[in-house]
Amino acid sequence: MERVSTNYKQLAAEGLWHRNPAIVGMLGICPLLAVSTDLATSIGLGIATLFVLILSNGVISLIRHQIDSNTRIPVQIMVIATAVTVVDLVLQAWYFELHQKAGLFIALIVTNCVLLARAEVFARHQPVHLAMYDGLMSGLGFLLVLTTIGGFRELLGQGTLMSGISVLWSINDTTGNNTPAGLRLFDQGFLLMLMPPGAFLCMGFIVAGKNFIDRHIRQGERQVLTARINVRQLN
Amino acid sequence: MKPLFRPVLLAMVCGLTLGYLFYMLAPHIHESREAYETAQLHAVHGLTHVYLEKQNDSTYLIRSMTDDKLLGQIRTAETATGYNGRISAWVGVDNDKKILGVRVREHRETPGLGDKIDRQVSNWIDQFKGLSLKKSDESDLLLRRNGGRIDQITGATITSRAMVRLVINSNAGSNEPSGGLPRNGKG
Repeated sequence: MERVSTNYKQLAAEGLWHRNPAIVGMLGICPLLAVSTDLATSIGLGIATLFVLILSNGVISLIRHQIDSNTRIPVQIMVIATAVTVVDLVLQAWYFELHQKAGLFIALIVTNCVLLARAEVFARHQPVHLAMYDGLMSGLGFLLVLTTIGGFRELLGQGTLMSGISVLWSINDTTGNNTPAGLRLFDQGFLLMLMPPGAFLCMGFIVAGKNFIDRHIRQGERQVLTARINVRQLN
Repeated sequence: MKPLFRPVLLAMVCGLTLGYLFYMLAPHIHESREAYETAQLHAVHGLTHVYLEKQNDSTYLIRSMTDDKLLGQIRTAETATGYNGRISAWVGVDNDKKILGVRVREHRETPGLGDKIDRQVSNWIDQFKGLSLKKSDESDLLLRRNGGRIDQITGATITSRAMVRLVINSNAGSNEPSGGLPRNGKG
């Protein structure tokens, strides 16, 4: 079994960086790559996933003593599916536009492996507050990657940022013309970025970037260590 | 059977929770859907100082706010030839059968490719604006590669074709212009 930390600071560092569900765990790639064509929808789906993750982690932790280990997977899926439906209904009631745009992928959060992974590895062994905190941090980690990819793809693909902002905040548009809002930086985009290969490319660069930074940090630590040893030997 | 008791109980609790939540939210959902539809409808014609009069489920008449004159109408049109099945849209035409605008209501086209038919994703659909739906001008409504004036969406030929078919279909059923004569509207 994976070693889990139960310290708030460590949980945050792990969820956001060291074992970020998207770029280290490579979980939930399907919605990640499919929805990240623009920033606003990415943020919407990321936040929806975040809420589902907190909710499902919390409930699974709450009933952890009642879960039989033989039936735990269907039980966890059931809790996750319920949480997803709750978020889906809430979005339909208050964020109808977002629901129209990311509709299919909201229902598909159920199949996002991040949720089952956190339930299985963490929530079913830990008290409620820790499980929910872990859900928050893993969800933020996922949101972070989703918005980064969404931002990059929208910027390079269409030359805009937050053009679909109306799905998150309804802008008072009396003509109802749905004029694209947000920043327009340049006109012709790089179409490849909007297509599926663009998503994979972005993802690849982000993973490479993370690994590069990690190696840099590790090298730095090693240098400090050798320096210390050298100083000790001199003494 | 014993280990199944708790999961079954949980399933019932989950079901009841969702049922209750849906019961609570149903009016809100209905309201949002209506507001969304109205905004979409007004976006179809792009005219100002007009109001819509519902003729039936698939037709709205566009009337001037000042003198109730009939300016055109908005009709639903559907096609089952989309890449992922059904696409439904509103098509607005004026009295001379000139297209005022087209807006997709529902579709399941591929995100990033076929979903460009959605006005919120791209303004591809604006190409139909200003073209004529008259039988004699119908060839203009085809894709450029078929001799028309519509640029297809790169990587989504099937979707583009489906939209062309949908717009042309919207004309079927009423071959004659519905006439510029004002009906007795409710005002």
